[in-house]
Amino acid sequence: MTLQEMIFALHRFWADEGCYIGQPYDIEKGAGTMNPLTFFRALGPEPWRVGYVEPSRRPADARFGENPNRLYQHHQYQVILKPCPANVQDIYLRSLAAIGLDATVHDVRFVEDNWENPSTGSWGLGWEVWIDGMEVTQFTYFQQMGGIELLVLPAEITYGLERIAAYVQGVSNVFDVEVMPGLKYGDLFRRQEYEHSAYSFNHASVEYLQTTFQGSEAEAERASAEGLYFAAYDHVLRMSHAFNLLEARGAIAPAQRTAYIGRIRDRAREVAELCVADRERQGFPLEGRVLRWS
Amino acid sequence: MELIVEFGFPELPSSVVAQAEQDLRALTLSAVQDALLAEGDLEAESYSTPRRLAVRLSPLRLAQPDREVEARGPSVAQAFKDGQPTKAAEGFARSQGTDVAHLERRETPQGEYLFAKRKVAGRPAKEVLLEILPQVLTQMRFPRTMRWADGAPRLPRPLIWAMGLMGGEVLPFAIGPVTAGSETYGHRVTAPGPHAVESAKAYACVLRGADVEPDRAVRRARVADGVRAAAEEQGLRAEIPEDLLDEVTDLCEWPMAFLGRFETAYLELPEPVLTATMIHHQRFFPVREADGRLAARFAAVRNGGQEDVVRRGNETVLAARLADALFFFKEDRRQTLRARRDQLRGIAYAPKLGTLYDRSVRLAHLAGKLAELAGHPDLKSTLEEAGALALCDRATALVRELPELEGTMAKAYAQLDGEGDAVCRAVGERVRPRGAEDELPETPEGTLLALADRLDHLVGFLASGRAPTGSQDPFGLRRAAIGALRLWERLPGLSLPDALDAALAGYSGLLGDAAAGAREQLPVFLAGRLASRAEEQGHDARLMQAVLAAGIEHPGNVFARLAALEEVAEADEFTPLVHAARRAKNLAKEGDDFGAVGEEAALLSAVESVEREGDALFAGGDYAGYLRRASTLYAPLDRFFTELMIMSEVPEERSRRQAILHRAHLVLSRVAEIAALSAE
Repeated sequence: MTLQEMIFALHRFWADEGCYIGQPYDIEKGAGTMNPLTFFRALGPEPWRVGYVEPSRRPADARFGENPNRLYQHHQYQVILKPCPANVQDIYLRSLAAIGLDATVHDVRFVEDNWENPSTGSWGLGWEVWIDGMEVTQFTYFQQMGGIELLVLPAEITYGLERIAAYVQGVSNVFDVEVMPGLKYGDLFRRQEYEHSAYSFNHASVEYLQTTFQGSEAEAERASAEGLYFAAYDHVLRMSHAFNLLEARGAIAPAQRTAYIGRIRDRAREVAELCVADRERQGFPLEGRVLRWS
Repeated sequence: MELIVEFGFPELPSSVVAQAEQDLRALTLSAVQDALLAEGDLEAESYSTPRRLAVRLSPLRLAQPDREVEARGPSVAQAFKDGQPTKAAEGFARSQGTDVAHLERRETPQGEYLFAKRKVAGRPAKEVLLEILPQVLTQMRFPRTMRWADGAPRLPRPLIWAMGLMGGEVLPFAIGPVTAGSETYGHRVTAPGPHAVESAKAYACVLRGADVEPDRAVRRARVADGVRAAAEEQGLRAEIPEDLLDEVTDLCEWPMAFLGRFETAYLELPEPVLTATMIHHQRFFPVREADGRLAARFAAVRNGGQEDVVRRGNETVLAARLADALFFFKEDRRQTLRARRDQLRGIAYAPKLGTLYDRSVRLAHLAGKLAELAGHPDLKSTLEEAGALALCDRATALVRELPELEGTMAKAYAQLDGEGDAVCRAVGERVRPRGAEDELPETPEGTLLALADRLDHLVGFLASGRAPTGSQDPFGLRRAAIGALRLWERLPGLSLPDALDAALAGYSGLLGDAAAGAREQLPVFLAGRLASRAEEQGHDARLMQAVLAAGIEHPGNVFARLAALEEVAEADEFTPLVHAARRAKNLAKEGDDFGAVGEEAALLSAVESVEREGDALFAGGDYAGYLRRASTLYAPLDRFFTELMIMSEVPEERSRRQAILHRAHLVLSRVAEIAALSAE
């Protein structure tokens, strides 16, 4: 199965489970969790189901396109089911079958792995899911987002698409993954991986990144003061990406790290609180609305 | 009647399963006993897998026995005014379903009170169990828990199902949104169910028919036997570490072992890299040839799937990890370990405490100094060299990727570079003990370097004001202290003040005067750790306090002194000795004991003889012998107190007697401040 067919299959599968099939959000971010479709919708009592692909940027994992498994940008398939159904693991296993990983053929394990994102004040308990000894999915029961306790339990399922595709296609290097007939992952991304690696590690202007971090911080605060939490959140994402680049660039001393993370967290908490207050003012419009959600 | 209860979860963390099974069993047993539902002695069997915790109890009564219960009411003084019952008395009687005339008066240590006796009819077992079974789950404690449903107890994972049966009848107790039924669920893929369970007896059998082995011990044995057999079939021997066996046991419900292989080219990697990758990252069991060399094989356990597919997949994953490791290893080998020391200048140790290079300078100096102080001057130059080299593996790619190999790689690279054997051993053993129960270094050079490492860490963080608070110990100071104390037991001759001076010297440049603060803090911090370690191990806290009160100049002998005190404290003659020691301590005053006569001279000569003989016993570590020898002071002390007036009117007499008591007290309090054990 090609990578593209896998994405189609997951879209189809999760749409049939009642998910809105969303789109990636066009600001750099480290994980699909930071897409507003997850960050904001996990908050508050309203039900929510969504599935989307997120190109996630992790400058520190960049390897110049030379490592068979590590990437600056990898693609996550992200699903949120809120509230979490009791049989969520069985649904997940059926989704694996839809992309060619049948649990009667493969050995599937749920190995404890809890998730925490200190820079957005978020954490949850969950697993990394192993197929035949390979980690293919991160599964999390969210407990807190943007510093706010979540009272209705959302489950997050995050598939690592490149790894799964490589495994399903029996290739040991992600750059050999077939995206569609005749087109390899390397054809699309090798040069991009090389450039972003070189830029992240060697060329990004530390001064520019620090200015961006501070400017985004000020702008997030200003927008929040106006109650514009979607606008403010865009700047929180920019802060986060600038921080990730500064770290890859080796421009953050260990002693400063906590302070940087704290500054992002403060702004993230602010927008999360504004969002909850606004949804409450609107009377939580999605509450009680049933698509195929139960 | 027989009771069976099962709680079903999405996969629990493997680290909690075994403990949770024991807790469930103990809590259910005591809940059923407290509810008077036990019919004689209860027998309990418990079960656990990653997806379930269960307990089976018998025999239970069908109902609680009828019984009489007594309640205490108001005191008689409050119950009557002018011979008439007060509102308090009447209210109490009413609450007990009787009238004041039927209440009993009885004397208690607090005075005379009113009592009511009331017959209580036993309730049916089923009704009581519906209340107590949910409470059992609420009482369980787990390291990390989550919210998952309104009004339900926090658990490590959501509760998915529950099953409760007594004598074939369903016990529909409720926990959050889950109501218990009579069905269980089998293997997630091969036999999900639901499967009806007709009785407690049938439970395990139903599960075995559904590809679940619910008995943890049986499952554990099956993992171990399967792994061993898979290796033996190829004439090989599997290595089965206990903690890996436990983890694998609690990662599957129906374990099936298989053997996989990797390319022999990877055998070029140092053995610890191969075993760490297999054990920590893949939960594989390493496999060895008959001669003990690592084979290019691994044994693993699957919970389902088709064996050949699962094997191929696991082989692919391991190969990718080993390819990475081999790449890093070859990169690392382009430079010697020694040559990397300069790169430590670019790695921060901690704010205010400099870089790892600074730390390596301190380690080299401190380890060498400790060798001298601990009576190993011959090891000084080895330790200076080892201290300088020990942290260099932090600058290697392999340790960056696999941080748990710190120390192990320093040794491996040092060996490949042809460094001296003793230096290699020391840098490898520096990281031990990693935890409170981890193995200690085997060699003196390793012990000394490991102690230098922990002392440097403790002194640096304490002096820069970062002592742990409450449950927060972000810099691992408590772990470092426990490690240091355990290492110190191997170095009984090394004194704390000397070691502390040597450690502080390394920080004088970085911390200036602040470093001196650690001189007071470290002994207090270590004493605190010693006290809590003694408590954890079940020692009497008062005895430990007495030992600590006698000082920890040699931290290495504290537990030996405690053991001696525990031994001697059991003897009958110990209590009078404690009293005598206390009187001596209270009256003691340093001074001139010249001119002793009579009972004074008798006590003084007894003290002097203990001083003389005691030194050898103390130096030889025979603290119980010392205490027994010191106990002989009881008779002369007793006579001293009986025959003489200590606080004599004559000033010279008084100060002489106090001075003699001072010396007696010093002798009596060398192993422990036994005077502090007096109950008065």
